[in-house]
Amino acid sequence: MNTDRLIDALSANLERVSHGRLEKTLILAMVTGGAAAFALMLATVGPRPDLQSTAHLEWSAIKLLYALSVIGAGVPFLIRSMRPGLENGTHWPVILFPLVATIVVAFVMFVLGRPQTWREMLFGASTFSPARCLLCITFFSAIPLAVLIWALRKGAPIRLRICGAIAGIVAGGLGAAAYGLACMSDTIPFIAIWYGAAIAICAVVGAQVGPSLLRW
Amino acid sequence: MTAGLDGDAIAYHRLLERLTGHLRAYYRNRFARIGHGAAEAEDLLQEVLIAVHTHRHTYDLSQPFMPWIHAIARYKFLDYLRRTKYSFKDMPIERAEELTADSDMAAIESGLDLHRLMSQISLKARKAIQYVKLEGLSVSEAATRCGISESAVKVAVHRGLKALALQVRKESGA
Repeated sequence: MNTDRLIDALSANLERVSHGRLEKTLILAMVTGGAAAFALMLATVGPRPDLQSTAHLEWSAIKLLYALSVIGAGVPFLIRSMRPGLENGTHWPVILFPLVATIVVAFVMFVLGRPQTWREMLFGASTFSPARCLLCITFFSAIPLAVLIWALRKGAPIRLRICGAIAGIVAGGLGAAAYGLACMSDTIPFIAIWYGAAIAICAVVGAQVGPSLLRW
Repeated sequence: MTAGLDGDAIAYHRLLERLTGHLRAYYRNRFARIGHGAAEAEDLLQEVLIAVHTHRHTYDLSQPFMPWIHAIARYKFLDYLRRTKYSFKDMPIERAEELTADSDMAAIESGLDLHRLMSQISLKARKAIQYVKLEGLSVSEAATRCGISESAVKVAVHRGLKALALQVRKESGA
């Protein structure tokens, strides 16, 4: 086909483009994905039974805060990565700040804590806690990741692997938020290590599927 | 672009035309460097125009326009390289010759086009453009060859290019 003819065809029947549609799509995807992760949590492991007590509620709030800060740090860059020309503004220090800061706090608490409490700090309430945490968070993150990738495909991501990795981090944050209400292990080191590891797994998965699924 | 996003078809048409010229130069240059022909460059150019069209909602009005275009153009170029790396590997050796023959043809055609256009402008301007723009001589070298002053060469090149542009516009309008 002749290029001039192509231009004629493209500019014929030109429709008006609504602004800000991309952002709305992404927010919608996050709400949908978060709701799906939460529903999945209710359907499988369920919220922790001792949620009535204030102390346990506080710990759930801390986990939720952790997850929300991971999401909050990632989303602005996810929005930028949908628009060509803005993808170079990805600041990894900002994206990883919540994860790294929690690890630092965890390390300080670990060093200051009594050796008798080390075991519980690292491995949580029971021996199965780390495995349960990793499995649940990655499992709960699957739907958010899929919905986020669907939303990102509406945009035009340029650096597919990086974009996929950030999508994985945000999806991991949504999964962690859901699991935070079910998790029985109430120590900062546990959150830093196992939640962090689960989110890292999601990031790696996102980076792996990004180049093939986000291509346009 | 802003008008185009609001649905102004005429402004959008003009924008795409100007982009085409810009992108064509960009891709010809890139493709020449990797040893691919102008025909593939034109195919990719069309692909980019379609991508610009279907992804025009990703342009942020508060941001400069050309970086957006360049990001898309660069992305499509890298995507093309990734794609062809495999297809070149898979191609039997007998067909490889066919492909190079194709791209030679396109180069010859555009050379012929240029030659035909050049024959329509004045001899002085033709010589000046030939020396300065096509053979890459300096203005002073061209001046000694033509036997005229340096400023006369510059004026001749300028007028010649203007006349060529007019010809091209006339032909594409026809």
